[in-house]
Amino acid sequence: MLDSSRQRMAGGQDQKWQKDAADQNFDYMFKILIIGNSSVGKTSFLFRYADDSFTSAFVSTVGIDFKVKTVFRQDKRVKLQIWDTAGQERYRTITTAYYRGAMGFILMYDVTNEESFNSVQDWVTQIKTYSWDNAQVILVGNKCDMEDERVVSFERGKQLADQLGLEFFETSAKENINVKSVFERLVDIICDKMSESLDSDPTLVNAPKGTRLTDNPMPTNSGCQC
Amino acid sequence: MIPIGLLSMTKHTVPTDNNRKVVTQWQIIGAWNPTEPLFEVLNSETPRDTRVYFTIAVDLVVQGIQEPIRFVFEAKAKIVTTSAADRFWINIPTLSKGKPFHEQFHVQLRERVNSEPNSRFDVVSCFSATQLSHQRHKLALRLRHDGSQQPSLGDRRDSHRSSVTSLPTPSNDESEDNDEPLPSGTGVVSKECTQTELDGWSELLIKWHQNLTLRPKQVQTLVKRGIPEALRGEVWQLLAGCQDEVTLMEQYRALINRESPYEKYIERDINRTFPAHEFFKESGSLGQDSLFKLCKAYSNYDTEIGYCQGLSFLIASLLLHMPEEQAFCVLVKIMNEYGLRNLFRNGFEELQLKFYQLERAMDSVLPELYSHFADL
Repeated sequence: MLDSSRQRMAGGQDQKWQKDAADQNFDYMFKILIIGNSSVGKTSFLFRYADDSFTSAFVSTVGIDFKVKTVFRQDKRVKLQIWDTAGQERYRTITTAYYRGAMGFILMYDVTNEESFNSVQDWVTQIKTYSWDNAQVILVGNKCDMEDERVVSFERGKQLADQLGLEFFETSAKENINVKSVFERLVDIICDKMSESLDSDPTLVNAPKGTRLTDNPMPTNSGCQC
Repeated sequence: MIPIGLLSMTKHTVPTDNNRKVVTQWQIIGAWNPTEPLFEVLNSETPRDTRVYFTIAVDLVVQGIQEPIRFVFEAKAKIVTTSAADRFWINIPTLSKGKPFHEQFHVQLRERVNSEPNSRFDVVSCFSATQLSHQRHKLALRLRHDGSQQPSLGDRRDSHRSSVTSLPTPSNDESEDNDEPLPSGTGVVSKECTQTELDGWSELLIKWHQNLTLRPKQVQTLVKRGIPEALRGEVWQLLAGCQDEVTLMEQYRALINRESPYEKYIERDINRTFPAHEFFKESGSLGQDSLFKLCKAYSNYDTEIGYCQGLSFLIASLLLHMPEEQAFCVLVKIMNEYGLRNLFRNGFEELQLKFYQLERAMDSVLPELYSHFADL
């Protein structure tokens, strides 16, 4: 049921174990979830960010999947563990189990799909119910390249975001519009929140130690200017 | 091209896997005389005793279709010397004795509107299963040559995603650390099968068809070695026990005509199910159409489960091996009798239980791995 294909647990395990030494090389690890209705473009968004690739031939995500990307911020290596979730409603019983411990959420709708926009409130409730109180959320209206088919205006998106107290971006995974900005902004607001709550709870900054199978450091300099 | 006349065509009515239903099979025998002057060139110029390829084209005129349909086979052949006439004979071992030559064709027809009775359909395409797999292979090769990505891991990943694909060649992927997605459905299924294996299967199938209620003893051993690609459709149906399911197949035809509340969800997944596979990649193709119908029929059949993401992959795998009605039947059996359905029920309650069991088992058998995952 779980799409473990990208989790690379099968095969080459010995090599992966050896690689681990290098993988310890990060200062923080943030767990981020991408959620939203089915086929709004979550997987495409993640692949655009992590691999800078786009194809219209993605398979529907069954269950949950993740990718890892390491970015630099203020001389710190921040490892992002980004979870991609199945959008179909009934998978929520599976995906919400992964909300725990998530520091950031990208809540996505499709600007050409009214229903996906109408579900935003519902997704916010899910976050409130299942995640840590300090989790940061960005509302994202994807597929903004499809102007002709747009049914949700930028203004409506912005208005809803303001109402819910969320940051807002319109993006296109296909045309690579604002994809990187969303992640950078999310990392920033997580960092801000972290330093805010550092005094009260220092355990939030733990970079977990121990061998890791799935780490996949990419020497990316994503030019975070903060 | 050397024309060969049609020598005989006979009609057989044979029972299929279920006893009550029969299908009509046509046996067509074409023969040629190797001493025919037309073959002279072939006989004198083809290298002797080496393997060559022989293309056989059969043009069939089918009632309702105006143009004859051409079925093309590529058969391995050997030109052998026969002492008697000091001539070379073309011997296609696969057609005479030994390993039977098996080819499956996918013919897509389009119904014409307001047409004459003898030209009701147009042929949209006609592919042999071999051609399709060659195309798939080429596609996979092309993808591997595109860009700088390493060749192997993608395929392996792909084979995880799609149960019907397999890794073409094992290779070393140490340097691979790029998660570049490879389109799902580009994997290659090996059609290789040894003679002994085929003999084993053929013996087994004869026995099995004689008594469908009794599963022959050898099944387990043979299945463990892998069911040859060409036989999967038949063997899966036999294993699932679809032989007595005429009612289910009839029910299918009624179910596809009923509206389903899940249609829009199914539609969203049709383009996202093995999107690179030859059979499913075109919008509006036969493959996508069948996939949609089957998903819809099941959602109507089992209203508690309806349509659930993930089902389309299972259904597509079945459709690559058998027609819709049979695929429906196998699907229903897998869901109900093999317990898959329970995983989808009550918010995946049982699936969660299985996850828990897996976790506990990992904790006790592979504690190091377990604590690693727990740390993530």
